[in-house]
Amino acid sequence: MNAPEVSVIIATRNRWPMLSSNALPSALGQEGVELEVVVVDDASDDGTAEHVEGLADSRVRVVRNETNRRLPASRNVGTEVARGTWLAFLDDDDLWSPRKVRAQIDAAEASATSWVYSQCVVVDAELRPLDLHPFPAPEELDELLRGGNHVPGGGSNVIVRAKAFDEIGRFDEGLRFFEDWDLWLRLVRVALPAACPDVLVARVEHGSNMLFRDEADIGATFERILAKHGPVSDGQRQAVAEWIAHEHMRAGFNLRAARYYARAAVAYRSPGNAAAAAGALFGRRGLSAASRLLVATRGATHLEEAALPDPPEAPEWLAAFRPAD
Amino acid sequence: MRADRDAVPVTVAIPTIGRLEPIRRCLESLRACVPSPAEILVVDQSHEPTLVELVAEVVGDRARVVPSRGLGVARARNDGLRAAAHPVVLVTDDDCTVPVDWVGTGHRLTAAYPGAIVTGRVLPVGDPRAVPSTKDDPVPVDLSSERRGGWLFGNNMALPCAAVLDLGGFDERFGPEEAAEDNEFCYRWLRAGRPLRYEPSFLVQHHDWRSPDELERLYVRYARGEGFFYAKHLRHGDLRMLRFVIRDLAWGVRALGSGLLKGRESWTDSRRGVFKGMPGGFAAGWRVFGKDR
Repeated sequence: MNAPEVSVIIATRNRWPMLSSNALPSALGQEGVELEVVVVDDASDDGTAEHVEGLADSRVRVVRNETNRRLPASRNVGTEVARGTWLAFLDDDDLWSPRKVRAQIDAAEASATSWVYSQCVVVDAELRPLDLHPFPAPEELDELLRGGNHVPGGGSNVIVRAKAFDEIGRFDEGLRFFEDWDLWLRLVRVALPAACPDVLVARVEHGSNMLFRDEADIGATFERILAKHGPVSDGQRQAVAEWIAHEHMRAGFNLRAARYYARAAVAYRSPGNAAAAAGALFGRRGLSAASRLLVATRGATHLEEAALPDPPEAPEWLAAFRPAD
Repeated sequence: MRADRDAVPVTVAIPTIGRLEPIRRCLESLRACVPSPAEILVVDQSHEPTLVELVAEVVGDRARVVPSRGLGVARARNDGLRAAAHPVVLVTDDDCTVPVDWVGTGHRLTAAYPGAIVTGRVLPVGDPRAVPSTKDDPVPVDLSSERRGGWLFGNNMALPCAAVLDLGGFDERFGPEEAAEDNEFCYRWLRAGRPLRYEPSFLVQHHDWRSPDELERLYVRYARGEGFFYAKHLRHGDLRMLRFVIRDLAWGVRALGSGLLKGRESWTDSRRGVFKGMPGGFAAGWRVFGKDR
């Protein structure tokens, strides 16, 4: 059997409705590329594995974990059985443009690099756009990653050569969160990525995303990740605290965002974050006002990305995923 | 195309006492592994006539049954190591199953840490209270500087075959009633300054099949094995064993107290076997290993 160009790895647990409406159609709808889809069912008890097998699509394989191994290990399991030259990861609730894989591989090959990302739109559960992720230039990424997971869309965006993935040592299974961030930190040391300027990924934001649960563990995990990659400075800690606050703001958790900004203001004696905390209480427009205040009084703002008051336009391809009225 | 997805040069050894359904389940999980191992050895102490057929049916000619003419898992593991065609041997038990990446992960880790023993997670399948010897720590640890047993999980090991046999392998005087041969070997390995790593990505699943009575008997065997282990090394003048004896007795007292106060059933706590098992094991070990002197 010929090896496909790409293996799409989807790890999932007890979320068949999302998997069947979002991730699987996204992966199987890719144009201009030979691919296989490896679904890693992480010990679901809702019949996910049986549902996937029932699709009877020769491009789809399902691997079942007998016990719950969590996301990083499940992705690694998928890479173990994957046969493609490239590996693409996709969360079960996220969405792809049908051009995504082809466009990204073409961009990576044109830049002769081993990994690539694209623009990403954040949408709510009804697929209404909330925000466009900031889109860093590849040459800025090394620096940015030291202060947060700045690859837009996280795990569902990046496509990486299988060889490079094996060489840098796969996902760290000891991490409960941010295992993708840890991987990008290792990848960026080996090669600068390519970047596709089109919006090819939609990250579906809902309250159950890991960043918004288990708050207590987040701080410890990011300390561990940063420490793996060198000494951790207070500047980095502040940047990560601001990034976490931004992410909460982006997802519409204004109160929690205000709390994170307030904590950063106290912990790092940063008045700019005190202004952000006050603004965040009033939502995007409040944060936007705080951002303007900072520009007026200090000549600069760190809130630019989080404070855009108006949502972006939805990319056309997203319409195909909306249920018919 | 990805790097070699075919068989990797490792041997998998599975000691069995002829439990046909568990060994079938174990072999089926091994058959699904990608990559697969170059060799599978089922080390048999049961001489169960249908075992050869079952092994051939499930994994075909990649596997063979190695008869082990003795009793006890220490002997079976050594027989597996001696029969292995490859320098790295991955070991699990017949009541475990392995995930699809087990062989690949074991191969990768032993290549990354040459000369080291690698052990890893053991997760329960079924009622976790009824599954002994499990571990679910998510953080990798280099255990090479430790000087005690208990770190090595006999149902999930990647062993550098020659180095293990050079050190005498598992002590075959630990018979079926003294279930601490892995702890004793772990202690000797670490005391000799050899490397040992715990890697959470190297994982097996241990299935729930024992009744409460069987679990209680198993915990007594564990404690008996520990007593046997301590007596062996104490007989050889290793006074560190006294500390281990005191520690285990303290565990036993705590387990007893917690059982009385919280009403925990004895089959749910492995430490409840200490007082029933350890003295007998210690006495037997004192006798057996006295002959070494």
